[in-house]
Amino acid sequence: MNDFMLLCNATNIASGLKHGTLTRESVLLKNPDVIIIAEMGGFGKEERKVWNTYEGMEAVNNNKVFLISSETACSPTPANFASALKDVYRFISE
Amino acid sequence: MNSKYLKWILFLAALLVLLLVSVLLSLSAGEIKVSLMQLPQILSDKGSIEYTVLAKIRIPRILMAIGVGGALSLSGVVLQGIYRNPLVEPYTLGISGGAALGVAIAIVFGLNTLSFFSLPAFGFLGALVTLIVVYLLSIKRGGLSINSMLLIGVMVSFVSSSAMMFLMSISTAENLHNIVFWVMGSLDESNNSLIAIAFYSSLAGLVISYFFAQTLNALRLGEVKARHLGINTGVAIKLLFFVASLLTGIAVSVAGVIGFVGLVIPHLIRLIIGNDYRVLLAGSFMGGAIFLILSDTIARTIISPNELPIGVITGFIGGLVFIIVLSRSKSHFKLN
Repeated sequence: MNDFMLLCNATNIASGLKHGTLTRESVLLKNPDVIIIAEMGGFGKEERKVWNTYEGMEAVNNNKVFLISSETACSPTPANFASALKDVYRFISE
Repeated sequence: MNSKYLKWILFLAALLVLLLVSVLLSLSAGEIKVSLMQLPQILSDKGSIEYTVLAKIRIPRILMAIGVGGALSLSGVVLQGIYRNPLVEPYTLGISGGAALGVAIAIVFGLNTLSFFSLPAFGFLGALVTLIVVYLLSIKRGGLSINSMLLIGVMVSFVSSSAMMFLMSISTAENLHNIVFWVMGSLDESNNSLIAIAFYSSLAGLVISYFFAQTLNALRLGEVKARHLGINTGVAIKLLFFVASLLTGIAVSVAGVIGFVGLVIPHLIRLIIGNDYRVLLAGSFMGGAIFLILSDTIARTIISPNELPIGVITGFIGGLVFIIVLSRSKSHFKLN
């Protein structure tokens, strides 16, 4: 995901992380402009609903919480990588 | 006589104060520091990030901690009372395992996408099925054999954990990830109605169990003697067993598998205040709530910005505290 962001000239708020889950608070603290969530079966949709309740965040106020297919974004074959990169670029530049 | 009640009241009041302190601590601790002086100001400004953090993250988690911690600890203390065995808790009876299996089945077959409630519902169903299986298997000639119930419970929990590992080995990477995270346990819950269910049902469990406080006291003498005291032990045991299972089912299905609360907290409370269920029930409930609030606060701050599963914290702290207290106390553990 970090590579997608770098290629789109964006900053990843989770770039320093090596592993593990990020707390919701730390995301709120960094207040990103865009949030991109992997679909992960049905869980991504629920996750998006949760984030959209957090008023006061840039991404939420500007309606920029997006879902990305985990098929393409999480298993990067060359074709998948290109397709996911296109999606990420669309989300960020929209 | 009077001094005993005074001691109880003081003890419960001290626990209540401790509960309030841990709530305040949990409200203010985290990556976004909130000082208690600012609280009223923050809560009035609904557009701020601090308000979102408090109202959408910390307060729901505290309510979940009280509900789940209280429910697990209460069901532990009730089960220990029924079985007169200090090692009994929702885990050893296989109820938690059953709930976890239910959730794993729902995830593997993709039923979790149906609705937000389907995962907790399946957890609950799993707990209930386990309860019925353990119950039916341990009925012998019309009577309920407590020892065989315990053994069957342990076996059922082994079987369900094997079944869960089987499901995990045949599931996709995504599902595997979801199951593992669910099993590790978390109080991160965004659905307000689920939080309300967990909170109120555990309070209801506390109230119901108080109707049986004297029954549990009598059961400490053993089932036969309790019956001689005029208590309908058959009905009381069944009802208490059912209440404990429901409490566990709800707790496990909203928060995942959180270990050790039902075992450690009741024992600590027993060590401090004694075995009388009239004080033990409320004491365990509050103790469980305090323990989970503090554990959750640690889980989300200790390696921030990452978050630890709360089951890790409860397992570590619970186990260590238990060993320390047990090895220091001179008196041997007695339930009777």
